Amino acid sequence: MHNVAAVDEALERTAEAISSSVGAVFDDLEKIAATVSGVADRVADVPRRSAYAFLKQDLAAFINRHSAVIVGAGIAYAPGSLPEAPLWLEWWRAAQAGGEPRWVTHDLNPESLNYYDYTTREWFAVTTANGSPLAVGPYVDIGGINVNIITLCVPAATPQGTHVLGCDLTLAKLEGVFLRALQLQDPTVVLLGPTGRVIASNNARIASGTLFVEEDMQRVDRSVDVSSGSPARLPWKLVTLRT
Amino acid sequence: MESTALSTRALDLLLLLRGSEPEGLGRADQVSYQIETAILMGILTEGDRLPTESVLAAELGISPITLRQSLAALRTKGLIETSRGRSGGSVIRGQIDLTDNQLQRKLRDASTESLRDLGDLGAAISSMSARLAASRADAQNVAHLEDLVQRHRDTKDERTRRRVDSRFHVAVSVAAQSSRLTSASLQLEAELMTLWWSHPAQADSQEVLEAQHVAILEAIRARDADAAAVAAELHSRTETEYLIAQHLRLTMESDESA
Repeated sequence: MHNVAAVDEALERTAEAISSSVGAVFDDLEKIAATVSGVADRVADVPRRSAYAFLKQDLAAFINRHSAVIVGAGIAYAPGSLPEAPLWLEWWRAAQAGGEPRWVTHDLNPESLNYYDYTTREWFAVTTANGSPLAVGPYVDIGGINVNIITLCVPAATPQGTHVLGCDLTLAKLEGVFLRALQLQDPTVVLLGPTGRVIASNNARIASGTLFVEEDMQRVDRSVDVSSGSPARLPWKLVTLRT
Repeated sequence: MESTALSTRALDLLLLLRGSEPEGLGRADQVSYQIETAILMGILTEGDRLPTESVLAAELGISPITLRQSLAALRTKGLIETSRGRSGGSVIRGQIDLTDNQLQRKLRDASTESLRDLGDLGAAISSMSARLAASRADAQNVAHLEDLVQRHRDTKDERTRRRVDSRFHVAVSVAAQSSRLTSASLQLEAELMTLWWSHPAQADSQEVLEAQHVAILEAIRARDADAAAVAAELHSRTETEYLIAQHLRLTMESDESA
């Protein structure tokens, strides 16, 4: 028998650690999104790309501040919102040793095999449709940064359409937060994304990136919302499994 | 100095390691890395004499000047010795010893996701290799596999046993008569070598892995392709699980805050 109180305490502690580290990232990204909306409101005409040039510095500072959990951040503009290009995406990746974040190139040419049509990607489509912040994933971002990531998305509404500010959390970094807070090998504890995708677990048989199917769901014993304050923004659960 | 010429087989394996090196290295560093990996994996062992510089450079597809840079780097690390004269040349003189600390740090800093990804690729390579080996392995291939299974079981030294284990996996791909699978398998094993040396704490894990080797060998011997593929996949998954279990334990034990 497990000590139920100890397990509950570990779940609460872990939920709190994840919620506060992801929540702090969300909060800062929302501030940047508010600035973007503010700029668009102040410009009488349709803003050009240069109106958002401040983002390079703001996002670099944001990436460096949260480098413990995120590996990159950027903005995807509403299609047709900029006079210069129909689609425009600016994304930066954290540098290896604390230097300036590096620009990530995306192929925005519709004729190309690697065409990265962000308007059809879940993170952009759902965020603009809902108009509210959301953690999307985990998913493998092929054509993007090609690793298994979670994207935190925040909409920035403007008269020209809704842009999306986003940042990428890698499963690797989240796993560290999860395991160091949990400090428990038994029972099996799994951090689950909204579609049943495993974000992290303390059991080697249930690896990150795999999918929880119906059969696994039936073994769920206790279940805790990671972010009880804002479950819509961070729809993750911590569950324990019966052996 | 005591030395024996490098076998053609060892040279072939060395050449197949090309591509396993980290990105961003210059050509000379790539070749040093390739040779170091071959030493780490036990493909090159103490006393092996490398071919003459002109022959080796041609085999590796680099200029003799670049090769000399690579060899100089290996000499500095004490991994080879070079002598002049008719019986001269470069001879392997050292074994690379990663300390337990180095290995543990590397395994801790990996992620379950990347280990699972590595394991997925490993399962694909090993199950297809075993499937093909079941219909293509000749008596000599089977005898070699048998020898490796036995050496793996009988070796007491943990690190030597780990090298034999990886040689067994590569040998299954060799028995499949597929150069690309062999190359993929070698490169994967090379990567695993820098992560995993010690066996996990579970008391029966050693016996489990030994029994799985036997199951793969027997299926190949019986020319049962399906059984060979299933056995190899299971073995690969088991090893990945052990690897992830150790990573989880090491991460939880680390007190470094996020």
